[in-house]
Amino acid sequence: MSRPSRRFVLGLFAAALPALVLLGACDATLEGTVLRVGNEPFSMLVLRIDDGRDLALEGPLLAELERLQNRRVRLEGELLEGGPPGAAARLAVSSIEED
Amino acid sequence: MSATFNKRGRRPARAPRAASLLAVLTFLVALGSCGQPDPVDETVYPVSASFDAADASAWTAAGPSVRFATYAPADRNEEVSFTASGLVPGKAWLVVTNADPGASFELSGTLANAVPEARTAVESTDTATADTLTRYLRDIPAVSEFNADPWAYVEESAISSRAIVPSAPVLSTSALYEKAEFSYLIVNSVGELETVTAFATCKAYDTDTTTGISAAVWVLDSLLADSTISQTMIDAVISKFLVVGSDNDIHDWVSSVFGDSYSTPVAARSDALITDADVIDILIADIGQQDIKSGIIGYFHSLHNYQKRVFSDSNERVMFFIDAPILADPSGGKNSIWEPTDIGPMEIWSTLAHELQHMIHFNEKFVERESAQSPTWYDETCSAAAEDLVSYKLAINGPRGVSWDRADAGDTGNQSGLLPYFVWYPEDSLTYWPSPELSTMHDYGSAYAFAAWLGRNYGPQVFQGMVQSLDTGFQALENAIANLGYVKPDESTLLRDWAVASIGSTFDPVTYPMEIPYRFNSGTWFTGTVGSTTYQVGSIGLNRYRQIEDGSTTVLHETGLKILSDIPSSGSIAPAANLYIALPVAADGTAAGTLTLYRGMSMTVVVSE
Repeated sequence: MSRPSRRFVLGLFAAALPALVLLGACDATLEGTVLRVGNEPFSMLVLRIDDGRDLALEGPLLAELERLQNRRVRLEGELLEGGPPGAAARLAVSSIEED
Repeated sequence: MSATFNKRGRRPARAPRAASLLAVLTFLVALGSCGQPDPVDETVYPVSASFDAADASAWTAAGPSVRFATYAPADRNEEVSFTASGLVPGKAWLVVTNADPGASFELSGTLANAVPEARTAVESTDTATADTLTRYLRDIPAVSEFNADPWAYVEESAISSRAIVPSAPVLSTSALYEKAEFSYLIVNSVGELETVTAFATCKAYDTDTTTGISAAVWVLDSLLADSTISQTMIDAVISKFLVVGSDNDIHDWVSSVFGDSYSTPVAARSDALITDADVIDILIADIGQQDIKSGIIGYFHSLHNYQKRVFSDSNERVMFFIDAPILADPSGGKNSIWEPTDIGPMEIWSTLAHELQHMIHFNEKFVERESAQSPTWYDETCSAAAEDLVSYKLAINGPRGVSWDRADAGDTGNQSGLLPYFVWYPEDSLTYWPSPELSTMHDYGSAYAFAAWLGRNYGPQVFQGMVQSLDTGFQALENAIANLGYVKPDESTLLRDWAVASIGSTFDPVTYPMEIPYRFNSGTWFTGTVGSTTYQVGSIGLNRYRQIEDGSTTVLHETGLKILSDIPSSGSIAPAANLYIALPVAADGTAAGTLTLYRGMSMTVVVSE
């Protein structure tokens, strides 16, 4: 029996994202690319997960995340409702793992 | 590896769903250990490479008298010992390219006969003039003092007797003389953006019957009360932005290239975004709180495209905002009387094109195609292109910083526009925004330099392809170029070709004509047609520009594209960036050195006759 890849499992988790956000805050580990998106002066740092949705990044690790623009990472943090225009939700990042 | 899912603040009614999800995810994780990516080979392999200029077959012609050859490792790290021969002293350059959009790499290498880390300029010094110092408001401080008394916002009680129309999408009927309350942003006393609300009156309204699109110009009542904004200024705004007829205003010229300003969402996002009323609202507000150096001339905020129930600050309008003090600034004209050709108003006209592109970009990507938002560098590159394309039509100098009616590259020592930022630091990352330890103006400088190069080689159609596609970033750009009939480039090729063109722009365009895609400076206009509209943009010579030190009007850098004389002994190359080095050529026409190229990097030798 084949085993699911890590990316597959994270993908399933991403697919469940809307339901999770509706349910309220939850801890999550998500994989994607760190990007700065949108026009100035409203650009925001996001994690773009593999289905194309953006999670607005926040928290004390923001400066470190800024340096990881355009890089693939795995982020652990608290998934929160809301966010700026264009964001599916917010992710308050507590730890970063680079690919 | 783990995919954690620790529910907090569970709502009882939804707990079973959460439990089910948790169970599914836990099961999937428990199926076994997850696949690990193959380890990346970090070995640096020693290789040798040679560039023999006598062997023309190994070089690519960028023009009849300019050639280049590139060496790029095949998906591994290499320390390249290279030799070059058949070179002419002073006519050979080394471009180091990092095509990785997210990784910077340490620079490691040596060049024989190099003068360590001195900067050279292709063309040398010139003197700053008061005139050139005052041309660009966004970055040059203290253009003029704005001495009006502080404006007081009109108390709500003072306007309560007027007919207040609740904020609502403007429909097809004219909004002229209506009043409405708007939320907008100001730069507060500590330099931060702050949302405020105020009432405004619609003082101009026009419909372009050829497109069916209307524009409404609103002015804060406080700005009308103290006569900061006159009807002459308002009429100028609408006449520049949208009037009846085709190919005769900013809306026509920008939308012809980039697309629609708004479309009613039809699918997943229809419950969050507003419907299309075919009206673009422009609010004239005091964004900078009377400070014309606040850094914001105007803005587009997609928040207002959302329904209020999603974002309570939304005005529920397709709109953008322009700064009143800059619009009203009479500096730079023939006299103290306001004219649309004064510096401030001309910046506003260019900004209208810039912000309209952002509005269109949001619609074409996020609303119409339901794709993700574009990276900031990409969106700002397109807006810089919009300013460039309307420069001649509006008779304003635009980001090129050369008199709008000059087809050639202009005078040397030019400190105007955005290119002084680029020539001072051309190794700035194109994709990293904002660049660390540099002002955002450098990011705008790089974005414009890239946009200007794209437009002068692939025409305005390339920007249409960049915006009207599902993809974004380099992938969209590469497809846009391929769809125009060119060989599809990759990111490394694009950055390299941009660099070759940048060096080529410093040559005399008659002696050293350059071919597509290496054109920046033909000595004359570049023209392109989209639909029935023809655009023309002037030549650019990067040896003509000169940067002023940030925050100072007195310290000048050398004129010309920053070209190093050696591989820096310390430092790194940024993501998606080029580093320019003058290749030291011995008397026998040879050059040699070593350079470590990490995965994604390449080296290109450029020679001219």
